[in-house]
Amino acid sequence: MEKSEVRSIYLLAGFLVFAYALPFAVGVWTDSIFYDRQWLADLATVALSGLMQGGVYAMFAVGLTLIFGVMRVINVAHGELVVLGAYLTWVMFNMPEWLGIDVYVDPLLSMVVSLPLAFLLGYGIQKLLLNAVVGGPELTPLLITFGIGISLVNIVEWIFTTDYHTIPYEPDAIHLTASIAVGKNKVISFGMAFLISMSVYIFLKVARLGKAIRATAQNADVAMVCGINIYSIYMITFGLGAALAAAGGTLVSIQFGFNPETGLQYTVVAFAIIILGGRGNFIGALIGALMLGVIENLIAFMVPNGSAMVEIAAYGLMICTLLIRPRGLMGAKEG
Amino acid sequence: MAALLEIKNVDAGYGNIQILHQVSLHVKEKEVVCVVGPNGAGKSTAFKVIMGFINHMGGDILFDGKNIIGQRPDQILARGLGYVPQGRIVFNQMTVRENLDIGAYVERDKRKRLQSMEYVFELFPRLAERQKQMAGTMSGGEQQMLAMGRALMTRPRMMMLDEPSLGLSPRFVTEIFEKIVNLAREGLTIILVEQNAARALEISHRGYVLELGRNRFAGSGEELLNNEEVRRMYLGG
Ligand SMILES: Nc1ncnc2c1ncn2[C@@H]1O[C@H](COP(=O)(O)OP(=O)(O)O)[C@@H](O)[C@H]1O
Ligand SMILES: [Mg+2]
Repeated sequence: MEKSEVRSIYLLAGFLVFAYALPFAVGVWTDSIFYDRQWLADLATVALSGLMQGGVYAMFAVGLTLIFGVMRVINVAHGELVVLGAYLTWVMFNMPEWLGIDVYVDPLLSMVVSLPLAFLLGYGIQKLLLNAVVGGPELTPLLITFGIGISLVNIVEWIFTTDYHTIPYEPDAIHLTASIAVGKNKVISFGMAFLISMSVYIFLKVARLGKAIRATAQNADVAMVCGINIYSIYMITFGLGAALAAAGGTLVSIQFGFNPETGLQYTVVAFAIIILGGRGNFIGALIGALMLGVIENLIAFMVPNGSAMVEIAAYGLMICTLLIRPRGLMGAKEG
Repeated sequence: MAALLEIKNVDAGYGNIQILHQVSLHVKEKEVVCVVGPNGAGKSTAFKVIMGFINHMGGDILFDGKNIIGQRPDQILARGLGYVPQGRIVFNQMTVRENLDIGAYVERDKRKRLQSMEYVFELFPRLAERQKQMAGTMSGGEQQMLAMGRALMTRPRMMMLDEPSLGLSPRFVTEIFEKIVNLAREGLTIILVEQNAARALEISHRGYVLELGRNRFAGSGEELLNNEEVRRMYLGG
């Protein structure tokens, strides 16, 4: 590794330590830190739920990083696909009641339908709107996904209005000790996110199609002379990315409120994560997601009125990573 | 005998910029043909337009008697035309074995892929020793062998090699040329671009000289080696 490379990774690590220390410093400054058992237990609880939240973030960051890694397309509509997934889950959850049937649809079960639907949507978007412009100037596909995102917001708003929705799910808490507890829905979400990202990881590592996707990401021209139809790989990749976003949406729907405009927030979150982890890098996206989840919760916990400040975490991490080390923690060197 | 690959009066380029002007060449079955010419003459561009990577602006491209203009590279590969691009490009973050396996992506039958792999390992025993190594960590010569082995995985009828010896140590240059001769003996049809013109012409039946995107000379390997002008310009006197 070159010297400047090594220096930039130290700088980024240093910045991250600083970023994590900052909420503590604010906490000390505003006297909201108490060094008793109860406060430490609260801190552990907060860190833990941050980690759980990071798992959900990983879900959509992995999709975004996959799309970027394979096609160099910056999918600005990613958050909207997340919200679409949340709505699909909400619809299926409520469907029996609307139809007057007395069955309970587990929100997680709705993924059996929503993920294939999202896959088809992503596949279609790539086929009809993006395949023609991939490989050209990077701004073109970005603007197209921007348009797709706005259209999705409006369509969802037109159908569902701007009301907030939530899905009540497993409200109990799981107690690790008497005073450290975390919501059962969060644990289930995390487990689900872990399971899905690991499946995708293994698929990319060992399956023949997965290897073709990696080959295309590494060098599309050579992939073609290996007999890979890269356009079909592109459609599958966008489909997979959209399905992962929708999976993230389901997990969002069982713990947070959402409305058609929540998408932007998740786009930013996903961006911050893949820039921090390294654009196109799968493991980087997982690490970045967990880091962002934890720091957001630390801020909300220690900074007075902190929930208003949470969004700064994502923007801050993103901007500073771009300034310090644009390729992030694990990204490949560009050019 | 009809030519296996034939391009006639081909114009091609990047975007609107035309690089090739009325380029013609052909390769007969089991022939070894070499294309030489100064840097920037359009040799790689000629290969790229044959494989369907870049804008075709005019002329005919026939493989095995059939027009292949407008087809994607993976479709052309499936017809039996293998291609090893310039710059020994391998999938760095994959093992040697994975690189080879992906080389035969068009082959659905796993047994056949394994057979091809055996064949490649026989040809390049060094690759067999390094099956599990990450391709990015190998030496330049080994990567070139891997790139060639990968292109052989589909058992093509014909192979296009773009500067196979470029940037390799003398030992590897000799080895690569030996492999090319071996493949030719087995009956593979080969067209190659080489900076190492003298050496390449020695092993070729025929050769073409391209200059500024146009045909300049054509003839048997021997003729070109003995041609005054060609000697002066490309063979260092
Ligand atoms: N991707 C590209 N875009 C635009 N021009 C290119 C590209 N690749 C090569 N060229 C131009 O085409 C000409 C021929 O290049 P090339 O075929 O690579 O030459 P050779 O292989 O004979 O050295 C050169 O003038 C080069 O600058
Ligand atoms: Mg060249």
